[in-house]
Amino acid sequence: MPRPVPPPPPQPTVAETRAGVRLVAVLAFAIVGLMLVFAIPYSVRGPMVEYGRSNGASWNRYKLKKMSRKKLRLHEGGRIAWLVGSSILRDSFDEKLVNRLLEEEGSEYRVRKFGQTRGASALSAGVVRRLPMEPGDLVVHNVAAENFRRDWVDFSELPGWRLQLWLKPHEIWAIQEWSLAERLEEMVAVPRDFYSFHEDHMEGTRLWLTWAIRQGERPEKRTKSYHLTYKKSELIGRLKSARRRGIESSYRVEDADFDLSPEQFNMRGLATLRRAAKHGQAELVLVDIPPRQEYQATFLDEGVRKRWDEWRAEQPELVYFPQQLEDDYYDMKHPNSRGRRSLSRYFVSWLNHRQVGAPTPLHWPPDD
Amino acid sequence: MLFNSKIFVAFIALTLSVYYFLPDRLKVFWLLGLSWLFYGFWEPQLLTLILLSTGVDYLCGKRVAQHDGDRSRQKRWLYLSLATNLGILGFFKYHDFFVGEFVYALNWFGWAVDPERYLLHLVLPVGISFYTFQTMAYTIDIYRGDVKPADDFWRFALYVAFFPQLVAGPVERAPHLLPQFSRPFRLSQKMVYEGVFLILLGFVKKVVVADRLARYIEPYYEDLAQNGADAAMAMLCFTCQIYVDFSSYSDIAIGIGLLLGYHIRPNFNLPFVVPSIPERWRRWHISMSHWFRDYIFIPLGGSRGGTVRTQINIMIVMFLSGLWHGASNNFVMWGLLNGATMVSHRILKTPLRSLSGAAKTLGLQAPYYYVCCWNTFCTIATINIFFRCPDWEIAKSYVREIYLSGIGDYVVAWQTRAELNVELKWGLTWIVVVFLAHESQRYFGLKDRILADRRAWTVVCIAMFWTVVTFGISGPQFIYYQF
Repeated sequence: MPRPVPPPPPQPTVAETRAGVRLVAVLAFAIVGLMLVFAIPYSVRGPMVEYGRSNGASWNRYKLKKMSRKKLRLHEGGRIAWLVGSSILRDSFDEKLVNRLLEEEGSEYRVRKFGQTRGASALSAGVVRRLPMEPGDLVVHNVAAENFRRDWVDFSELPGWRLQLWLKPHEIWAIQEWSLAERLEEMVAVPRDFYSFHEDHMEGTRLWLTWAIRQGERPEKRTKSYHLTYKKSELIGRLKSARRRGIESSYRVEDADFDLSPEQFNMRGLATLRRAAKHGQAELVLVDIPPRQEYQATFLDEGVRKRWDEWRAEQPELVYFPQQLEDDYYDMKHPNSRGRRSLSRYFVSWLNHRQVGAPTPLHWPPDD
Repeated sequence: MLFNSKIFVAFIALTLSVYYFLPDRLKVFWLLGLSWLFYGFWEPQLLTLILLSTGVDYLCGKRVAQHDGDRSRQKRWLYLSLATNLGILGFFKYHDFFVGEFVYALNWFGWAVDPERYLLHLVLPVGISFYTFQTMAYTIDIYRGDVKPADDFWRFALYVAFFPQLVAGPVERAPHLLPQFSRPFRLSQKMVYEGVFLILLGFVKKVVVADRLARYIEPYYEDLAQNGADAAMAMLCFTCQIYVDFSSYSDIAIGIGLLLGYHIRPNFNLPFVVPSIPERWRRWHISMSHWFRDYIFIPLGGSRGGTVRTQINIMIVMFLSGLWHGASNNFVMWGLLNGATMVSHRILKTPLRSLSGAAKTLGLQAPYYYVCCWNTFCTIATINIFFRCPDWEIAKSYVREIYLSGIGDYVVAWQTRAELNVELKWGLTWIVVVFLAHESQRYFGLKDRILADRRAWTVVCIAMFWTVVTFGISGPQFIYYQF
């Protein structure tokens, strides 16, 4: 016969229950208090965050935070062209070179760049909202067809903290791709700074703890040189590109997945970005920095290209930048150092002449 | 809903803050509503399965009790319960496996059949193996006369869906859990201290140890094993991971139960360092081991039918245990290997006893004990290759590289140990940490000492809370969620 299952243990008394519930209440307050205390170092300038900051998005928040407003407009004219966008924009313009050329030409503009991986319109809107814009400033934002996939949030595999970093709660709530459960999961992530900077804080803590164990070099704060090394992204980019060409067919944008409706995540973001620029009394310019022709021909469906052309033609703020040579990209989309120099110079010329440009007709495969 | 998610923290805060203020008669409804919400959070349609299982077993339990004395009628109702639960389980969990194997056999015999035409690719409902077994046990117990049927449908529904242990156990039994839902709410400070401690301990085990180990070894299981030493270390790390991961779930479940005023039976009793496989099964996943013992092994005759019959019964139970874990050849092999080691142990019982006696005579009891423990650990780790590897080929490559490719890889690994993959080094460090914590509990009763001393409890709990906050309550799901 099976062994009998023991009955439940005897219960405490009523008086013990009262004391037990009181203890739970005390512990609940203690836990909330401790959570708040422990969450204090989680901020854009948190000590561990400064050591563990390992991505462009967090770096941009830091750059915004420490940007000196006094020094910002010391040049003659005092206008700023804010370059805000994705990694394409980040790799297309050399902030230092552009500012030097503008200075040489005596321009009333200087540029400040905030580019980040997956920094399409929705996340860029979060950046623009935080900019100290003034009337007469320019907000330059790049747009690209692949950012208007119907499943962009899912496809881009953005972790929750990246969204927390830039989006407001109601914008997270409005993500249509997500189920109610997924939206609730992000909505309860409070305190928000705690979740936004958790990855960086954790990485910084890890570096310090492992340093103590390994007795290696002391961890150093991750500064500009860590985040803006084009050589690094060029190296990684080349490897990724080779892989993408071979197997990552998921990067191809099919006509059925291409969504230019106002509900699409980045389309919604673009509307927010427009409102933010208007609110800051800055002029918004959308720039189209074309990827390699090979990319356009192989990763964008013909129907997508057609609709993309039509959409771009309807945008009053859109400016076309010139197509670079196929060898001037380090991967399928991002300009290499040659392309960056060329585009930076073009940007300065555009700032002076404001030419709208025109889309370069697709010519692929190239003639021998 | 995952325990290690932000929404669960909010969920538990809401649950407790309302629960304590509700009158006793409403507490069951509150918990039941939340348990269903918990279960249906990601896939609401899966609730229909748990409702079906609940409804059928409640009815069958009642009818079985009503026809007391009429065995044939009782049997009919019992079979309805078993058919419903095993039907749900079989359809959702095993349909594709059995059809796939059948089609494979047909192809082997020369019939060209495309398996894709018959496979359904169904989503496996979370926790299905746990709650179907729990409800079946209820009806079987009534049939056997060991338990009375639940008077109240809602209490029975809560017994099936009680959220702390719903998706990964412990598999509760009606005589233990069901009466607790009929008693008035009671809570002592001791229960609160223990509950909070267990919840925090569970989270630390999950987010610090198990998830880190998972991350270290993940790349090694993506492809065929290339190096014996690396494969062996990944194998040992996984055995540590699965223990920490699964026991952390049980800790959290028991802790939450205590805060709600309910006692959930323990699922582990220090199974990490054990001197033999049978001993390990007595201490590992206790609730499920007891289930198989009471509802499969003993009805098959247990150990009363002679040596050979007992060994066959053990093999049947372990085969079913493997199948319970997952619908694949890997799990079947895992179960059979476990059975084979159990049987081998029984066969070698006499010489092993002599060896143990000799060690005792020579004063080498402790070294002998730990040699046995290490041997058992390595055996379990080897068997677990079939648990962890995503497919048969990778599992075979692991066994080949670890045991059949000579000692060259190990010699090189030892000579170049300074250059060893840092993550595997961390993995091995975690094994040592878990071993030390485990043995501290065994020899010094560490947990009980902490619970008995309020200052120690406060310091340890704050440290654990800080650790959980730093590491973050997120990460991959618990391994046993997939069952």
